[in-house]
Amino acid sequence: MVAVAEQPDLYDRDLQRLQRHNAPDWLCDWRQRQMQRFRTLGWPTMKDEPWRFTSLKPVMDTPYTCVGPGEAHAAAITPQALEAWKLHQEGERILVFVDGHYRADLSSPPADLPQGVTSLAQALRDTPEDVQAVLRRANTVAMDALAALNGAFLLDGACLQPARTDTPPLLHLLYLATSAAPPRVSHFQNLIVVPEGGQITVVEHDVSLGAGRHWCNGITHLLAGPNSHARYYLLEESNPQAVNTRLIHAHLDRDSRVELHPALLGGGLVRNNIHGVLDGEGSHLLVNGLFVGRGQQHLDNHMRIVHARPRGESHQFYQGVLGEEAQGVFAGRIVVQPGAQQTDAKQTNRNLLLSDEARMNTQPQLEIHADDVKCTHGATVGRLDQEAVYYLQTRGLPLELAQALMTYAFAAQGLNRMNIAAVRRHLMRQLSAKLPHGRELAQMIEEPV
Amino acid sequence: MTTTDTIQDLVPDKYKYGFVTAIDADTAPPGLNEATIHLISDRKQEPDWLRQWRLKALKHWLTMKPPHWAFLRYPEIDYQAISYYSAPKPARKDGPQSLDEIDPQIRQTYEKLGIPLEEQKALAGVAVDAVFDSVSVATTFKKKLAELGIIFCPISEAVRDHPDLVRQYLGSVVPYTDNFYATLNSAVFSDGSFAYIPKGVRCPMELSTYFRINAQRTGQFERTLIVADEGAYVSYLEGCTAPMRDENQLHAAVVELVALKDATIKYSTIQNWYPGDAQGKGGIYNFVTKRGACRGARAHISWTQVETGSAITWKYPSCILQGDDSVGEFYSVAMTNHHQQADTGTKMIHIGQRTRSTIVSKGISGGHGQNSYRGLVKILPGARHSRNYTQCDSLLLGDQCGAHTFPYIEVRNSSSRAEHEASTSKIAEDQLFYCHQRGLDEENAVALIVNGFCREVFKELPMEFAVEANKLLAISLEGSVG
Repeated sequence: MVAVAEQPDLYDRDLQRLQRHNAPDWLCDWRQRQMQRFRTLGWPTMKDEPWRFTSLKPVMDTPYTCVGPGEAHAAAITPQALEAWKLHQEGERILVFVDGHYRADLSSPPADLPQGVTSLAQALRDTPEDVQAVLRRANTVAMDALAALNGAFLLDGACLQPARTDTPPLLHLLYLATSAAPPRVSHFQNLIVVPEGGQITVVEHDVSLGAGRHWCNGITHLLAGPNSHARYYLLEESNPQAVNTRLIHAHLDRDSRVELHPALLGGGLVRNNIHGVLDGEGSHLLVNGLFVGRGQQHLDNHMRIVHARPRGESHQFYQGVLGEEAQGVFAGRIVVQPGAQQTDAKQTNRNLLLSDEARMNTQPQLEIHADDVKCTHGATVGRLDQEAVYYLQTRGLPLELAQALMTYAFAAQGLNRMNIAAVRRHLMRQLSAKLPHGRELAQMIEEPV
Repeated sequence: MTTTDTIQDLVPDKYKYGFVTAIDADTAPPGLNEATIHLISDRKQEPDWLRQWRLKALKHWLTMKPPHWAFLRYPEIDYQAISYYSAPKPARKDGPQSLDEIDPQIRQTYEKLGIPLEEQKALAGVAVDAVFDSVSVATTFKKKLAELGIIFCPISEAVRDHPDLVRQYLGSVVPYTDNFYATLNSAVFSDGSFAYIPKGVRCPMELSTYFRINAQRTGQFERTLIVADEGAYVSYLEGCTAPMRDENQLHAAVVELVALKDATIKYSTIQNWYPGDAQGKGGIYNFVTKRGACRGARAHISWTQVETGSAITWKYPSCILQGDDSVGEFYSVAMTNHHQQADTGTKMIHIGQRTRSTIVSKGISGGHGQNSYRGLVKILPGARHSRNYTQCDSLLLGDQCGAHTFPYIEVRNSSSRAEHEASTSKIAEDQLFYCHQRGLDEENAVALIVNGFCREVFKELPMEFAVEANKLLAISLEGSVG
């Protein structure tokens, strides 16, 4: 670990400034303690095992500032501009955040939002004790230095605690990041609590408003109650200058079912941590990751799934496509704790390298302390099947289009595990835009609405 | 009785090779400093370059810290409490000339171990360079091998008789700065084997060394160096047993293999050192650095290991695939029982074009055993059209044990392919049931299934070893019956 020397004054100044905004005593305390923890832990470096392949040097060397709600509201954005990012799915409710702060003026009107769906800042004002209780419940997993830094700037985010309904809406959290000088960082937290038997669908969507640098350091806590069903999508589509570090923590209670679909398409330096804890009997977790990099993108997927109770089932699929000089990392560990008998865990990481400069590091890991389990993992790294590409060429497709189609087909294995058509459609468009002959490709594969 | 209970009962058992031979040992006082190095060098009458090399290693070692990344738990080792040199006292100044001159007690020990040192045993076609603690006591078949130009002798002798060869290759695969234990070994290595197979020679017999740790509190630090010149072939067997001990013993060996153009080296190990008692007391700490370099085109290095002993095993036989079209293989069975811990695996570094590697690792855990596979497959940008296939399977024989898999796969070009598969499970009830149905009892059914589980690896062993491996596993599994 490197001592936190690079930007200490800056972060301290930001913290002092932001502490004034809204703060019950416990929250001020909380922030101070997290800042202290960040100092103790220090920046992770490539000498630390979990950061072996990813350097945070670009983040350490840049004076990212954290802005308050005032500056975030100054950014001029028209509701029309949001149309491009909307999913256009029936029942979609959109919550818009700019530099990590909720913008009610751009979001769905409060009357349309289900009961219990609000911004974290609002919840901290209205029901601080409730938020405190959720934070206590959520912060049971080991958090790294970045999570501590996030905690020090706990200001805003989404607070989703909807009651149980028969027609749960699709909650679209749109995080817009501005390009400013000095560059900005947003530390937001999404707290998602699903009640017993409840259902929820959340799409978190990260996009850049400009082409400049910015850093998103977000945490999502998803606490799934007994017998609940939660779907969570992460669409990372920021610009190639952006840094995105992230923790998605899912806690599964008895018989709950959680799907996590992180799709990393954009960003320059992206680190996505997934921490799943199957803490109830018979719970089921699906992690369906997709990462597509080109240029000099660095996409790091880190995952730790803990089976703490018997009869848990977890399936993890990660599909990676790397072209040009992109680098991909996958490190996934399944931990089966003593007593978590009859666990069924399966992990698959498949990677496609499109160029000789692209690089992939993969570490699928198993740590098993119970005997009555079925655990497997598999990882492959390879290139497109030349014979299949040749076949398509004999059918009249130009080489590049044939390759693009094959690449798309590879990535589509991940898309097919997503069951919201609007998200699939959206990702399909984003994906084909990243491949050569994007328009022709899109026409060939467009899904009927 | 439930199946679980029965399996618990089957999982062993006593260390069959636990005994101590009381002979006089010429032992250095505990502690490690420059004086220790001079003592070792003086005793062994080593040339100055080797003495300097040891001193350099010691100097570097003093700046290093023991590694903690492995999935192992053990108390800190006090390296100053260990004696770094031990040699059986020579009966005569000029050393033994024939079997008759060997200390009868040592010979008895070998007989108990079943080492084919004597003539009738030689029919098995095995030339044994037996290392008893630190000094090689006898070497057989030397003459026969010498006719073919093959050099097979203790490394201390090779330093004297073939200094140029040793100097050229020693530390060229595992440099003295490599890692904590390899550096320690470079500083204090006691003895070991040296083999050189000249150009185009196919070694007519399996070369074999039996290592034994005997004197109390004497870490044994073998250094093995095998060089196969262009087009040569050699198969090398290493087998290990150690006497019953109460105190943890440290073992930090280094094995270096060099395969030049078109050469093949097959290195097989059976490791059955004292694993500690059922409560996890005692046992050998086995921290070994093994590495082979395929220096020329079409070179081939194959590691096969059966690890059933030691309280702690830390061992990663690796291949550096430098030459184009070179091949690296790793076949391993690791069994941990009681409180044994093993963190073992391999590294395959693909540098040359069209290089291929295969990894097959089978882990069996019983009792409170912790078994980890840790492997690295690294395909560098220049290693175009390279292939790797990795398969790691773990079998759990109890609900207190652990099986872990930590592979690292790093691919830097698009024309290569790496595949990794791993699974962890226990013996399925239906498999046991099927065996019962065919009239096998619980014990035999488990033994049969475990045997089948390891088959892929055992078939890679030379025949003599395959028999021993089966026997070892049977002892481990059948307990009272075995």
